[in-house]
Amino acid sequence: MKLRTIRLENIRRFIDPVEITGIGDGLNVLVAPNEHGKSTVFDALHAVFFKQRNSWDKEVRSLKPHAGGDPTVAVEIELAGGIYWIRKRWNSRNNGDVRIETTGRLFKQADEAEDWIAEILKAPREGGPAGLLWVRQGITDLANDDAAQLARRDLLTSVAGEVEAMTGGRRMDAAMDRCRSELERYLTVKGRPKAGGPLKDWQDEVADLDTESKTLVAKSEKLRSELDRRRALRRELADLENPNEEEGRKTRLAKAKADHDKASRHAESLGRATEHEHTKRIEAERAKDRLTALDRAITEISEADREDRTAKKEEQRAIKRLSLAEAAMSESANVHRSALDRVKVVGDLLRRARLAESAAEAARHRQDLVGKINRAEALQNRANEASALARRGLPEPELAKLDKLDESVRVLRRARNLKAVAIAMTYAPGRLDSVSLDGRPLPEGKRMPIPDGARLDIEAVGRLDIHPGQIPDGETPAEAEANLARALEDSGVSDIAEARVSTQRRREAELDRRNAKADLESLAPDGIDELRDQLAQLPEQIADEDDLPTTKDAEQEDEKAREARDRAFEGYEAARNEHSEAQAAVARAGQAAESASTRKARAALPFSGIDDPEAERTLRRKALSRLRTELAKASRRREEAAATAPDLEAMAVALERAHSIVEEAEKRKQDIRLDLRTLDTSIGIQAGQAIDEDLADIDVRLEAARASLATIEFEVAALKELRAALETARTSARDRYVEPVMQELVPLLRFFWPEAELIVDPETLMPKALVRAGTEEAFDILSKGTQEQIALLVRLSFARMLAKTGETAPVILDDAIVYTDDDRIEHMFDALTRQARDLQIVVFSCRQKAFRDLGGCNLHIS
Amino acid sequence: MAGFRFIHSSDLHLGRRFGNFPEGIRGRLVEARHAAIDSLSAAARNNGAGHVLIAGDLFDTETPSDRVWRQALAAMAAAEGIQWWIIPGNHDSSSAETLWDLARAQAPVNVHVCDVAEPVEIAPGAVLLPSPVPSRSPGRDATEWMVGCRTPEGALRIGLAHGGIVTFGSEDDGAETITPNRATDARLDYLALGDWHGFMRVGERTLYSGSPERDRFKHLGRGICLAVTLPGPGAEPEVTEIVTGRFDWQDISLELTPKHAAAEALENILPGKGAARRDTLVRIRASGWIRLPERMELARAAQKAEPEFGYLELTDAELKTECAPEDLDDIASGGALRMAAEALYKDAEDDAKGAEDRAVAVAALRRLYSYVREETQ
Repeated sequence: MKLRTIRLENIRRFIDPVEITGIGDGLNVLVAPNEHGKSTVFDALHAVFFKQRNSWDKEVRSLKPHAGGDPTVAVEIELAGGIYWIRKRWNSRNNGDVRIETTGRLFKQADEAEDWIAEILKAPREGGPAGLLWVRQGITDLANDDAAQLARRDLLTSVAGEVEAMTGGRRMDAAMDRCRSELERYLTVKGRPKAGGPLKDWQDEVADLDTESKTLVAKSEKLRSELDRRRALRRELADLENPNEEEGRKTRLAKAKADHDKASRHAESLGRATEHEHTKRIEAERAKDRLTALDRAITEISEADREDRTAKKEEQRAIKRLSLAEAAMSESANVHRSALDRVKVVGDLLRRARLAESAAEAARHRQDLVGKINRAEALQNRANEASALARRGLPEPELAKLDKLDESVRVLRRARNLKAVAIAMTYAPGRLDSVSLDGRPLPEGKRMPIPDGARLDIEAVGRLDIHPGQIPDGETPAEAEANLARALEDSGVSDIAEARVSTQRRREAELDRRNAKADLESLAPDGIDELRDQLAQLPEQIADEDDLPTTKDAEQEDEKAREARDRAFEGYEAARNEHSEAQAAVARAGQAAESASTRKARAALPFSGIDDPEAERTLRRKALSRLRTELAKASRRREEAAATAPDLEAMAVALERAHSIVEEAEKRKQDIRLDLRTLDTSIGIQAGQAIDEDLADIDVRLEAARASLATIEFEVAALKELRAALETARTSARDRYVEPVMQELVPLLRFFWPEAELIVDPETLMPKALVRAGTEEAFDILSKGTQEQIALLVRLSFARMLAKTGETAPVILDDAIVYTDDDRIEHMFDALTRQARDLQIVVFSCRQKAFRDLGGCNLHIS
Repeated sequence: MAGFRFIHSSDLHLGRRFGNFPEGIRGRLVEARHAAIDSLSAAARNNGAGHVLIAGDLFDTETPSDRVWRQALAAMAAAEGIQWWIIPGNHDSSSAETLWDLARAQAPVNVHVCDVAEPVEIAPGAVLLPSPVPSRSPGRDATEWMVGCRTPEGALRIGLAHGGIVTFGSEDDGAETITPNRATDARLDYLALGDWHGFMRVGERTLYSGSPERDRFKHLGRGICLAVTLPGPGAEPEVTEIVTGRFDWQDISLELTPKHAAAEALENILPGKGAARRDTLVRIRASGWIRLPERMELARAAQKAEPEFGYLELTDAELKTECAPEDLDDIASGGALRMAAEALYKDAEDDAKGAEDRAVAVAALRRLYSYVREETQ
């Protein structure tokens, strides 16, 4: 289809008819300033193709001029070689008209005309040419126009040729929609059973019925078990109440009682027999005892008699022995006493002899001691005297001290004399001794020191005083002399010589004392008092006795006397022992005789009242024998009774059991009746609930519900399978479906962006992203200019596809390139021009300057 | 009238609720079971029989609801002049003491519950030997006592028992206990058996009457009872089948081939006409091979016919779908839809997949087919 002429009447500002004529095959440009009606033309074109004649909607109303009048649009199109005029007029009464003429005659009108228009806008496969391709002023958002998208879809569909078949198209969508909506009845979006949907309902139903069934099964089982129990109890009760059984129990009890009584009686008679036997046994034993006792008494008495006699003889013998022993003892006592006397006499003699001997010794000793004491006392006195002397003498140290002082005096004196002025007199002849010094003649020629000056009396001359010159330093001899004098005085001596004598005397006295002491020491080492003590201890002097034997003789006598005494003592001791023993023997024999006599008396006791023991013994023997026979008989009787005795204990047990059986039966009957009442009530209640009937019903319904659920699950599975198959098929088909678009688009894109690639969304057929230099940029973040250019290119490629199918669709661009700068526009126009070789393109623009030199067919509104 | 005449029936299963059927038919099925009592008394009256022998399973369970058993007794009481002789079956065995105690206590004079195995002279010269079932699964032959049971000389001996015959099978598997020659060795003139819900002649004197009202597709047609005439001791019984059932149960198998016009075949095979269909329950068991379009047609035809019937069920578990290339063409000659269809078809034919998965694939393919066809139409 190609546009040739557009005519408007009563469209907005164009009240009077205007026309755009001479629209060429290729690129057409209508350049006019804004507000010159370009958009009006565009809208009118859109309306004539897409608005039904009886429409009066917003879009149509907007075409109406202010002045009123019915908007009318007419277009001349060339289609498959023919020229058609479409003229459409709308009015506010919704009854506009449409006419289509060709070759000067009316071709279609009214509804048929509308159908024809719709048909030519449809995809070729559906029988008509493709629709128009619109690009409105500044539209970059490709998705906002449903009609445009539909057109694109149809275009694409037509272009691809097999696309409808390839993707399934509408039928595919319809199948998919139905499949989805049917699945939605069962499943949620997430694929779970949907609440309120049949799947979930049946699942719930099955679960509910299952639960109910289980509950009922439990109830039913309970009822059944109670019925079983009741039946068992009833049977048991019937058995218990059976008269035969009752009779049996009673008979058994009676028999047990009779048996027990009989056994009791038998037990009593056995008891008596046992008692009798016992009595007889005791009697027999007693008889035996009596016999034995008698035997024993007879033996005893004869033995006791014998013993008595023997004891008496023995006693006599003992008495005789004692009297002998007494005589012997008395004699030996006398001997002993004599021996003792003799020892005493001899002993006295010996003592006296020894006394005399020691008295003599003592006298000698005394003499000696007295001498020693006298000597010792003399020595003592001497020592004492010497000691007193020694104490009076000057001790050695004091003498030494005095010597030292004396020495010092002399040394000093000598030194002064040496140092001092000395005078030496040489007498004129004859003048000897005329000079006296200090009163004494001055010796001739002798050097006389005068340390203290001197007074020289010179006879006849006078006195010459010589004064000492310098007094020498240090101690003066006078001072030393004074010291000495003081010391001498202290020591109680008059001069040093006396001191020496005194010391000498002291030394001698000391020596003497020591000698005396030593002598005394040796004479009386322990002191004189010791000697005196010794003397005092010496025995008294006794008077001498005459006729005393010698000590030695006396000792011999004494020895002899002692031996005799010892022998006498032994003899006496032996006699005394014999006496004691004899005494004891007498006592023993007496005792034995007494005990024998007692025994004899006791042995005689049993025989009191028995005259003839032997006769008695015979009697007793007979009695024993008789009783033994009786005992044997009683034992036999008891044994016989025991052998035939029934088991009393067993009888008692049997009786008790028979009793308890009867009692148990009664008790059991009561229990059962009680249980039965409970069960009757319970069963009565449950039976009224028709449990089994409900259960049978529920089970049937459960089975049916399971079958339904299985059917539904199968249905869901089938739908899911179908959905999956459809989705898989469509996805793979779509990939193939986008291909032709890309084939057209790629060369155009290369024209603008040599390296770029465009990704197209197969669902909406919209550009999704541009890939430049390996970077993917989402379409909506691209610059407006770029978006605009891509949108245009996509449309152009659709148009090219359409053209290739043999149909052409006009591409109408209404100020479509507003964001694109002038340089790009030129580029764009190159593209358009290139495309326009196959396509009819109508460009409306207000950018006069930019479009002026782009070439193409210039259109005008006239 | 010569001989002794009575009605032999069994297995009324009163109290069964048919929860596996749609609600619409459920109540009618329940009601029909109760109505069977009236049908039996009518059959007795019409055939000059004074006795109805119920060979067990009068009730479906051991504890039927009060409504069920009391209304049943009331219905029997209403049958004037007819004596009802009932033994407990395995479903309502005599261990259901409560049921039978109550039933006995409230039974009208013409209803006799025979829950003890002892001979009863039900009419002069006619002795009934009832064998009540003692428990749900007795596991022994309850009729054995009949052999040693003495009856007056010249009296008819009529056995009444419930259970499976050994080697013949029973309604509930594994419950066969009654020996096949019981009628002979117990010198019975007739052995009226219950348990089997359909009519079955075991021997000339041993018969199952079946249920007077069918209750499943196992036993087809309408329920019957037997009118039995015993001409005299030792003489062969004369047995007449009398239809008592209200509902006609039909289980029809429909063999299909790809060449068949399936919908037509179905229509041809549907039983009954007009109003009778209301009381007809049908199960069509389709089998064989069928093409996709026919399959759709078949389902539509069944859907169309269904409201005419008391119950109509089409089971196609045995029906396999054959898929021809033109069927796939009908979906799409190419493109995505075709791809989807072929993928499903491949799955459906894939022997490596399990039967269930293949069935799912077939179902999915069928669904796709109907989507596309419906869209087109």
